[in-house]
Amino acid sequence: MWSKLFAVGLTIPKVNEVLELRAVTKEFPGHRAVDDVSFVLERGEFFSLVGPSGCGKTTTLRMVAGFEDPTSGDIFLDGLSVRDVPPYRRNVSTVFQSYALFPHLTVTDNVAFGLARSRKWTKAEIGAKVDRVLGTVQLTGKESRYPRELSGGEKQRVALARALVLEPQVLLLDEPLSALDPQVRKQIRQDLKELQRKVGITFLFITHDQEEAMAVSDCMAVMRAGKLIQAGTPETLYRQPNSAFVAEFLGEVNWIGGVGVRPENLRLGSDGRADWVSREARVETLTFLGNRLLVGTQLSDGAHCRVEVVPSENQLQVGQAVWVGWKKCDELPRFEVGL
Amino acid sequence: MISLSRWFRAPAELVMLLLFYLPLAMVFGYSFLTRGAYGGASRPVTVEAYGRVFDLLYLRIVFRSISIATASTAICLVAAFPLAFYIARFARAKTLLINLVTLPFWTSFLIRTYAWMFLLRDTGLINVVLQRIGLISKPLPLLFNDGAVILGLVYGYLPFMVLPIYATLEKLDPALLDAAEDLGATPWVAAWKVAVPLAKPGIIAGSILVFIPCLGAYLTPDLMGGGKTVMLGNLVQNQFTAARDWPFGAAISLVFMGAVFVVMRLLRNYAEDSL
Repeated sequence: MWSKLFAVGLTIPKVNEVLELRAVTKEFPGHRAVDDVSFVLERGEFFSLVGPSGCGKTTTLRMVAGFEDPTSGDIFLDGLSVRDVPPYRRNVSTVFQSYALFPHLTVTDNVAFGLARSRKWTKAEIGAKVDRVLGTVQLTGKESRYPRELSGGEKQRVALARALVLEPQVLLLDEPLSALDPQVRKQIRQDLKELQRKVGITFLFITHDQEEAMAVSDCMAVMRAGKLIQAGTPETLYRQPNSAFVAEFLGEVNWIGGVGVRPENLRLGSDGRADWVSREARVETLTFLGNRLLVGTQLSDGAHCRVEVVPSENQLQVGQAVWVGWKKCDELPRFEVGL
Repeated sequence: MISLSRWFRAPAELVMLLLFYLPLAMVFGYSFLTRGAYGGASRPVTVEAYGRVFDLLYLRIVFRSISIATASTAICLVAAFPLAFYIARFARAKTLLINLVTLPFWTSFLIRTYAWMFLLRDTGLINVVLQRIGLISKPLPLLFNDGAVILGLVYGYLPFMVLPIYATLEKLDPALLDAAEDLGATPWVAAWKVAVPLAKPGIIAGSILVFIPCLGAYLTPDLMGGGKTVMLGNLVQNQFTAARDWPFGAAISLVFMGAVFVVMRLLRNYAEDSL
């Protein structure tokens, strides 16, 4: 029996791989939105696709949801190609950037919409499921509200509940925090992370905010101009970027003689230290941020270098001569600058 | 000094006064008079004309008019919604297609009605072709019946249904339909459960724009209905010409206007409640 399956080209999925993109390319008239992108999502993982706007991350998400067909390459859910599976038969759910809540339906009816489409459940079962998921996202008591009567954060949670209640293989989130106030964003991204741990559903999260991606992800992939540049844990990407683009997209970098060093890894001293790499410099600007002090310096070769230090008693002064030093192990790996 | 806004309003006000309010007042006046022997109307003042409006004979025509107008509106709706949905959601050349919808307006309604008659009559294109290829032996009765009237009305008023529905669907966030499909609705179910309820204001507006002129239609039933007095418009016309009963014609017009006004108010309240 197994040999028969293999004969028609079926492969046994690795147990942990819930979603795989294999050499996926999407061409629109006149431009290639997604270019030969491959990655794998492990079950229960919080995976982020991050990149500047227009890098192809939303198109990638839409292909996973089924709204766009790949020009070439294939997408697998639990090891099965979904090439010919329309969106309404794919067991993935999307939280849209605009939330796309149905304005003519109450919170309850919005959340029940997907359950009512499959004939698997009775009315009572649907009611129970809706109640439970609304409890999970803390919307109990808002059941009979209409979307226009909800705050931005509440709408976002309805959108989450509506998608989660279907227990999808993968939950797709298209910049779900971008419509929220900056003040509540940090809180909500933490809530999102906790929710994901609690429900154990695999999340594919899209954002252009690298800090947000690093804060929530188990694994993330950086995209640029349709190509996937690097994928890995946030820490790997931050410490071992494979390109200047990834290095600079995830945080600030000082390029000192072809070597990349992050501002927080630089130290200031009154002289060079033997176990550190050191350069003579002059303080140009001082920016006090409370918990840290940004020191703009100019090295003796004329290059500018930003140093981040903990504010201390002994005051630095503009114009002061200092030594800028760093540990060899804190240098970013060498790669062609400019990629 | 007369304010500028007054000058802008003046031409329209003058036209409305001379061509609408004044004639309406005259119709109102005639409806309370007694018929003259050769048309026209004179004293004594009476409400006799209003009494006859509710005569069974005329109620039958009212009922018939409502039936034909309802059928025409329903057919327009069924034909217009998918078209409007297609143009709003899928079509590339939206503006071109919407212009094509309004293209028939570039020719006179009368000419277009005659064109239909040439197609449908016993010696018309359809019957001739069907006879030539041997599908029928004698001409089908395509013209001068209620079906022909409904066809003519649907043809004439379809754009008035397409345009308001298109306007509401065009404003619809396409992500809503994506969301419905994402949640397991087939494209048909997504359209039925999301697009149709959200297009309700357009559907109501379109239905009003089609139903009311259909109810009062005169030209189409007169030409395509074969001269039989089928609808209210023809009944009114007949009172002012052949029957020479101006007060009765005026009374029918006013009762009819009042009924339309009430229906419109009800529909508008319904539309506002559903928003």
